[in-house]
Amino acid sequence: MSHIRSGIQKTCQKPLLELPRQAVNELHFVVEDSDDLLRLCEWARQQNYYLCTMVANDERALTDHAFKLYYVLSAPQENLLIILEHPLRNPQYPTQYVSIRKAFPAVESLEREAHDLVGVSPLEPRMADGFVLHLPYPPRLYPLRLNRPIKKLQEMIKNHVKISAKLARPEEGKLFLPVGPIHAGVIEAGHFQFHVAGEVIEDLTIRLGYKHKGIEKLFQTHHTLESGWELAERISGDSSFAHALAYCQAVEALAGLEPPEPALYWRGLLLEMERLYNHIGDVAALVHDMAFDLVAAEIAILRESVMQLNLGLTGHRLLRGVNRPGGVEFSGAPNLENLSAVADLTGRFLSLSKLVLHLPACRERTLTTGILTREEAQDFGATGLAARASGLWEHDFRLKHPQGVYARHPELLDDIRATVAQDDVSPTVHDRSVLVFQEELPGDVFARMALRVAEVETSARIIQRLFTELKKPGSRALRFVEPLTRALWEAPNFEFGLGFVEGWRGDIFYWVMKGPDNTIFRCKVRDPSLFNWPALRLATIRKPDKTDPAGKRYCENILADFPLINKSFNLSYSGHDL
Amino acid sequence: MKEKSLRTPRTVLGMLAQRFVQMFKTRPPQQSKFPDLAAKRRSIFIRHLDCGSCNGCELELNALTNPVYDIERFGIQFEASPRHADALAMTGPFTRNLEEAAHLTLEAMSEPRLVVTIGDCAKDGGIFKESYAVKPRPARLEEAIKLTAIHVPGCPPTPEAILKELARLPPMPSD
Repeated sequence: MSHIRSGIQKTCQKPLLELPRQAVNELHFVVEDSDDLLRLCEWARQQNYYLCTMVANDERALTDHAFKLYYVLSAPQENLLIILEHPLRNPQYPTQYVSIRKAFPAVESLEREAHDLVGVSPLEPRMADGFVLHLPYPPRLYPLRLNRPIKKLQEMIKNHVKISAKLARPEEGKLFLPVGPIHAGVIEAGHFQFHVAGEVIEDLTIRLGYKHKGIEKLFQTHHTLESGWELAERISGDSSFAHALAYCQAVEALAGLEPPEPALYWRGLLLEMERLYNHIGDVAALVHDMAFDLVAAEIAILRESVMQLNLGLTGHRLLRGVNRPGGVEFSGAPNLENLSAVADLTGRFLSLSKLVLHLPACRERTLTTGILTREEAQDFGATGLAARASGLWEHDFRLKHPQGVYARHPELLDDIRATVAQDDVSPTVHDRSVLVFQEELPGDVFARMALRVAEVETSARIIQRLFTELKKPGSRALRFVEPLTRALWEAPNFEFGLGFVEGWRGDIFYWVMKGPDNTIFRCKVRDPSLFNWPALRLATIRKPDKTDPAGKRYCENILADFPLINKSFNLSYSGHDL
Repeated sequence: MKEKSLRTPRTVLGMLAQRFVQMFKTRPPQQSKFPDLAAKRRSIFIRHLDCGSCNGCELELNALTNPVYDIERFGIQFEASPRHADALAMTGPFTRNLEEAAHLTLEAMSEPRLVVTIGDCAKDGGIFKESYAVKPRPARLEEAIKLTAIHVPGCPPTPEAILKELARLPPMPSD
């Protein structure tokens, strides 16, 4: 840690103020100078650090009397999170800052979100409105500012005369194919505009924000630190447990307390159950799109069985209502015995999906379709499964920032590492039924599908291990909650805590600042989808094929490939729009 | 990918055969769990409309089409276009950004039309009720919801609950 500290100080021209953090693997620096910030980000990029989140916070009423930005960077090799606090002190431009986009292009989505919700934007380039607040909202609404109580917001929106949208006309000779926001299936709302030449997709514009529900404001106005988990669960339905867990961990970090040991096991187990049902469901959807309906139906039955197991464990099919800040709480006795069915279930799933993965028709459709190269994934900050399938196979918060059960049982990490085999001779190769090799991860649909299958096997193994731990006496109770109320009252106001979880889609990041009386001053949610939507666009559009030495070939996808590419990522609209 | 031994049948056909045998071995002829639906001798085409849900209700609506619930055996089908639909299944708290799209979807349906609300958010906004981004539904939509008078409570409702409520769908006036 000391070499990072000195590296940071050496990069900056002015010495940085370092603030103490309660958590051991977090460093917190105040970077006043924007040039220093740019230099630091450039340096961090060279060290292969990546951006976790950016928080724009209205702290004009606090001691610093300024808007502030918090950049959270991950140093994966050192299991360290670096927080760079950047107050906007320029009296001429109190809401503007210098963008770090050159070092971390992934920050763009976060910047656009902050521009709409907080009203701080980079000096260059100029930001367009309408990322999450579309035409029904007046300009300069900035709902997350402190001087905007809900009543005032409602009034501003009511007085706003809506301007009707002008349909963008394509240039002469170009064809646009608009899709959405209401799609033809039972899926969420978002707008895609395909620029096509014949069947080939030339470019793709993705417009989201339709499902904006003002969640971050609701955290501030309608929830306390101890009740916020209810809202966190409803941010993205299929990641309910992971979102609630990330929130709870952020609050626990604020209180400086850890939940009791059985709660950690339960959390680890249920998180894997969530990964299991989603991965199985996604493979079913992919197989369905390849027109192997029979196999898809069989896999769908397996997914339903996992949902039933969830119901038996927690009383809720989507694992809601279990996480509390401080631990876990069950409404009824969890039905652990049924969990032994997981082995059989995954066995069936693996043999079915192996069948499909070997079919020539599947390979024809999925190999070299929707390629996201390693460099693109790195540049645009793709996270989770999308990044892992592009060759960044260790990009996993369970491996790089182990917490809870993973911090206590490092042998679980070996299971995760074995998901991707590095070579033919490593010892993990022989007891796996599905093998994905490192060199087989070029970031196409096939890689993402095969990795999903391999991750199901990993999850099943972790579930088995945790299951045996939980069967021990002493783990049978309805409630494992460390009382936090007192610790939270004693925690200083306007202190913030970080919560992060490797959900099935990728890392979910929560940044929670405590207000007076256990209120939430600011809760920034960063769903993995926010980073992965731009990656999905990159994977779809026509681009030069970097692997071709002559530089003449192009990576091309046709319109019919898009459903496959989309499902192989399976991103959340609701988590993106918040 | 590399092969190792398979535990369950090797081919799709083999698997099918196994399932076929199982069907006759273990399951005596059963009474339908949803007698109301089974007795309904008409089909309903449903168009799903997402008004800002968290994706939970969509997951459960999708689960309805899997072989366990198999909603199509009751003649209920999810439609791609509102123009072909008898009923609209609405989820979510009705966000401002989706107002226009939701309005257009409703107007694309021919009358008479039914609107079913699914999930706690669709009732009154649920946990998002007091957000600035959520607004009351327009009068025409509210009217159609009142007329149909079918709401499936739950966050999200289980597929069984949705099936049971759909059984209560009133006959179309033209039937």
